[in-house]
Amino acid sequence: MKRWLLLIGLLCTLSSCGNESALEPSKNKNEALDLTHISTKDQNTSQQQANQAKAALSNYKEITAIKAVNTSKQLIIAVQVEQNQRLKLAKIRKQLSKEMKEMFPDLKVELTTDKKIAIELEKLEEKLKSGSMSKKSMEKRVKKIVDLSKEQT
Amino acid sequence: MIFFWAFVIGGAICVIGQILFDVFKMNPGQTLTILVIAGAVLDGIGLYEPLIDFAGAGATVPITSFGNSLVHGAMQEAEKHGLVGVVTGMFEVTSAGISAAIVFGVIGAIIFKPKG
Amino acid sequence: MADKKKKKLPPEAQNYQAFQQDREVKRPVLLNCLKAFLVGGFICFIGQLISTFYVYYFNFTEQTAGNPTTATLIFITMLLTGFGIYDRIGQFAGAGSAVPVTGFGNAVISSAIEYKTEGFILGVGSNMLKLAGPVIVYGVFSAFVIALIKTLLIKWGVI
Repeated sequence: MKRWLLLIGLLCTLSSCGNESALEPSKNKNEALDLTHISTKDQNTSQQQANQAKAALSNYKEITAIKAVNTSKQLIIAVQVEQNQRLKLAKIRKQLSKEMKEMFPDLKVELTTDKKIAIELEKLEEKLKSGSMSKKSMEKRVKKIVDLSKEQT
Repeated sequence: MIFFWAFVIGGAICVIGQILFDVFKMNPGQTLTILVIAGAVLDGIGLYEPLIDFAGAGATVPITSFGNSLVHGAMQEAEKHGLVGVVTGMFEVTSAGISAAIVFGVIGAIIFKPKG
Repeated sequence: MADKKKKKLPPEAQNYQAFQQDREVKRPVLLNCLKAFLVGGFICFIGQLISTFYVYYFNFTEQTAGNPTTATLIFITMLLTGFGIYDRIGQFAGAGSAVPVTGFGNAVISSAIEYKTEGFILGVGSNMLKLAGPVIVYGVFSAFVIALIKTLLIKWGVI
């Protein structure tokens, strides 16, 4: 009985350690980063905020891919974290989400680490680059992706 | 990369089960029960979700994830509806394992012939 | 703790215990653990493949892909159990085949198939969850206790 209590006590201590920020911005540019900038001309809705978000996030060496798209009211970002840091994925997501929300106070910001959202945003970015989306269809697509990211089972 | 860790962590949890079999001389029922309770305890402490983030299916396929899902469902419902949610919310997040096992059990009984 | 148990027994029983431990089949623990590791890891690897497949080719996110993955794995288990293959894997792998959710599925499905001779209501229906029962019962109960403790601690501001 005592042994079990000791074990549970140990686990409680383990779980409470580490409240420091999970990411450190490094000055070196991340070489292997997977992101694409979308030029602001020829776009119905300027992707400037999305590009800004990508630039800000690419300072973290733990991030391996960033996909972001914005409408006039909403910014959705999908981030992929390197494998070894994935134990702290929840903390990283919280920290980055807070940062992006502070960076863009007049947009509704959704930051996710989900692979599916990254795939969907990549498809959307490709379409935006080729310039073949109307403003309405882009907003519809973004709303669909945001709803998808909020699904819980 | 996550495939590698799915293999390793999943295998490790099975090794723990095997140690319960061989060293502690437990039968499968007892072992699986202990593992489910362990999954629930780890999620209560907040250690199981990071494991799922790191190892993917290596943490969601073993039976320990069943305990984790139950606690998750209970906590989600408790946040919304208070203490009563602890009882009502458990199967909101998880039912796939039990439903599938029952459905395919009946189908299996219809299709296949017993051996003994 | 085992010594305390021994001291309570009369000398003949102690002798018998020593005799019994001598004659007991020695289990090759390390080899069993290795086999469990390989098979269990492999089943989880397959689970990861299925999960990734659902994320890429269907409209599931990483969060929501868990349920169809479990259902697919148990479907595969039904086929393996029905053809008697899962039992052979079980003999080889021990916990490697019992601990993943496929082991749970196998327990339910094999019970269902075996008790078919006693009829569907009394045979299949009553006996299906015999091996799986404790898992569900104590899983739910322990989750209840843990969630209760945690909710109360949050309510009282301790966490």
